[in-house]
Amino acid sequence: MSENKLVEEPRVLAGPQFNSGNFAVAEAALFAGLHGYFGYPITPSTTIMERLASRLPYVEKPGAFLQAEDEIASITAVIGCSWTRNKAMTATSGPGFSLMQEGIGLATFTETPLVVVNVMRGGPSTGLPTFPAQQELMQAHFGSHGDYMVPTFAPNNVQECFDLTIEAFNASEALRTPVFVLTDQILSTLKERFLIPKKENIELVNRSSPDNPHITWKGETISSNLVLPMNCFGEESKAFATGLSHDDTGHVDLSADTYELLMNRLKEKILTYQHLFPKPEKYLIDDADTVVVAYGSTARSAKYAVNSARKKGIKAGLYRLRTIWPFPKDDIIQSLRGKRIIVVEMSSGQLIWPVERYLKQDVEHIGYLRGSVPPPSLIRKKIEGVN
Amino acid sequence: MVTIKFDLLGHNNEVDLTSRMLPHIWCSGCSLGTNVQSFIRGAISAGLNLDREVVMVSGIGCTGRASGYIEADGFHTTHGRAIAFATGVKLGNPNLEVVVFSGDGDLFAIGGNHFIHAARRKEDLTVICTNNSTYGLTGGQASPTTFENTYTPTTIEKNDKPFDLVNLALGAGAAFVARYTSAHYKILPRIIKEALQTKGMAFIDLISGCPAIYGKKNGYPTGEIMVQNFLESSVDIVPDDEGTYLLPENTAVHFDQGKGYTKIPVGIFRRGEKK
Amino acid sequence: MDTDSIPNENIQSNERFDVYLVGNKHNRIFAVDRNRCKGCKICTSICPYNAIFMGKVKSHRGFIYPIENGKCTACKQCVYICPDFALSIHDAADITEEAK
Ligand SMILES: Cc1ncc(C[n+]2csc(CCOP(=O)(O)OP(=O)(O)O)c2C)c(N)n1
Ligand code: SF4
Ligand code: SF4
Ligand code: SF4
Ligand SMILES: [Mg+2]
Repeated sequence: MSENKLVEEPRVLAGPQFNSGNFAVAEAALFAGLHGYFGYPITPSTTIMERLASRLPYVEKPGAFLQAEDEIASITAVIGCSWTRNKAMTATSGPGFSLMQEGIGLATFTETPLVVVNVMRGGPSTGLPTFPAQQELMQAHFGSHGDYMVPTFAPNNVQECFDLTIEAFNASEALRTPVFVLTDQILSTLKERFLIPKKENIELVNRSSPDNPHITWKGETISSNLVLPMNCFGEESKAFATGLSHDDTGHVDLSADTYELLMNRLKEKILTYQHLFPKPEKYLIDDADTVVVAYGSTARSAKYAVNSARKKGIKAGLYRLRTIWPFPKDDIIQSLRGKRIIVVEMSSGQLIWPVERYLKQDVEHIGYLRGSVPPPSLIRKKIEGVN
Repeated sequence: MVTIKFDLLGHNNEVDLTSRMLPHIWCSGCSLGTNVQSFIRGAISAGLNLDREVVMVSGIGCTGRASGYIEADGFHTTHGRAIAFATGVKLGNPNLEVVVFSGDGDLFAIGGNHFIHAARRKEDLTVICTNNSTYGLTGGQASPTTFENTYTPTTIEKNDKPFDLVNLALGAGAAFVARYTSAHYKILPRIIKEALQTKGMAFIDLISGCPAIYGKKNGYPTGEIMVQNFLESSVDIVPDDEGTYLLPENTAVHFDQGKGYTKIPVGIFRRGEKK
Repeated sequence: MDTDSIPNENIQSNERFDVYLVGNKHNRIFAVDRNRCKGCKICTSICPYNAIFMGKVKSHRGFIYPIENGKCTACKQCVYICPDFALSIHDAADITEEAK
């Protein structure tokens, strides 16, 4: 394998780097202890897969890499791998994310820790494969049938691609849930300086087990009533799970009481610990009259626009979501209610839904559909009230 | 006079059954329970500890429920995805013996792509298909192995030609390929043992019956008649050096509406390297 | 009368099992789990010794179930094929104790 030019030395990288968001996602996964990657090539996510193909089987503690026959197989194999008490992930983009919805439902219902990175491009269908968009915000919440919630994190720079991928693994392990990282085509190729921190400075969480039911995350003990200790395959306690309604042993139980209890617990466990998820960035909002609400690459342009408006004496600010789901509704109400709000997104209208719903006020909108981030000038003019 | 200690009674393989889930949901006379028993005895004869070394993966369907009745680690996946899930398990922990126990619709309609690719990639799995030539759970609709000119609620005038699963598995690259019926409960544990000990994908086309729906309409209205039908129509293959026993005309299963099975070629069609 | 259809008198039952002492020395046990049997008749049709026949009375679950006639050789064929895990064969010594 060392003759293979594609294979780097078998170390998890450390220290300062200059590279892309996709590169940072891949290295973060290795840093977090990824053991299984299962995927199917699709632009603009593919370079995550390629990077891990040349890294995962060759690092100090080698893991399994498979190019599966499609995204349905990929996500389902990720679930299987996770049940061997290993960290597992996949990365994809729009069309692949659609195919994965079935597996995502299964993962939420069987409480399987895993990470899915969706590098967003323009949709619907094959759409704009090589251009950015933000049209899977609602799909991240409602894509699979049935009620469920998947913690969804959204970085907006390469450093955050690294950091939030680690957070995603930690949240998935702590709460026994799939976690999404939503990036976009710009972040996938954009190269920036970022730092891979020292191992000892980063907390890595491993899921609970019958022997170790009380795990902690960010100093907080995760309740074993909300997050049941996970029995995995090949261990002393039997491990069984089904996509049918089930009792705490994992076996089928279709009774009304069991189903209701299960559904409520699954929701509760996410909501109870949402304060541990990445916090929003609030930029110059305290004295602001007008606040732009955005996430991902779009927020980079929005911040530029806010700065230009400020130079002109307009009191503008930026509220950037790092956690999309569960939606930080209390914080957004507290920070923004009563201010003039402009939601900016690369979608004809998805982020605006929860913002309007929780603020219960009129919200202005830029729904940019031109396969790039909305230019700062466009956002600045909106802030200025020039249409 | 002796006193019976009733609390010690149970099935001879009770420790390997998930007793609290029994009686199972399957209809009277259905092949599935017999197949589960044959599997358990096969795994035991292969020296496996079901509780610690085996993972039973199944999809959706009547057959899909099998994983919930066997006292091994297991997972009841979504429809068609058992092989994809099993692939992730095996790559995650190669020390586990990963078994896919699912139905013909699950494995060869919605899950067909996963099957051929896992066979091609030589995933180290044992795939046992309870092939009852129908979608039992949803009410007897046509499956990819439903026979021509038989009645199902969704093929009113005619059925297309069914897959010959043995040929399909041979072509896709399975390492071990066998076919028996659920009535071959005597020999099956030995076959299952060999499948479990084979490197790469081992596949068993386990011809089975759905007496409650498909059988009732097409020729074997009860489990009793079904077992008779299996035993009478099974023909042992005679391997020859030229490989004529592998020709499609010699591997195909035959069935006549009203009569049931008329010819079931059974035996081991391909043997693979041992683990 | 067909002697195959005369029940073995060496039977003890509880709410779930019918237990027959079988074999020449009554050292084996043939047990029917009435909670599991679904009355498919597969066991009676394959028994090589005609040792079981279907009764006429229904179990609490509404199914007729097999009855042993004293000819059982404990060959286990019916145990292996029963799709409902309802039949079992045991050594009497493992399941019984002499009444004192
Ligand atoms: C995605 C999806 N489509 C359809 C179904 C409905 N469904 C449940 S089982 C089944 C067919 C099962 O057939 P088979 O695998 O042969 O199992 P059998 O019941 O015959 O054992 C179908 C179509 C489903 N559960 N999921
Ligand atoms: S419907 Fe058919 S396959 Fe399903 S349990 Fe009943 S007999 Fe078996
Ligand atoms: S085979 Fe089993 S289920 Fe069928 S009649 Fe006999 S004991 Fe009952
Ligand atoms: S054990 Fe053998 S002889 Fe006894 S009832 Fe069963 S099949 Fe017949
Ligand atoms: Mg079927």
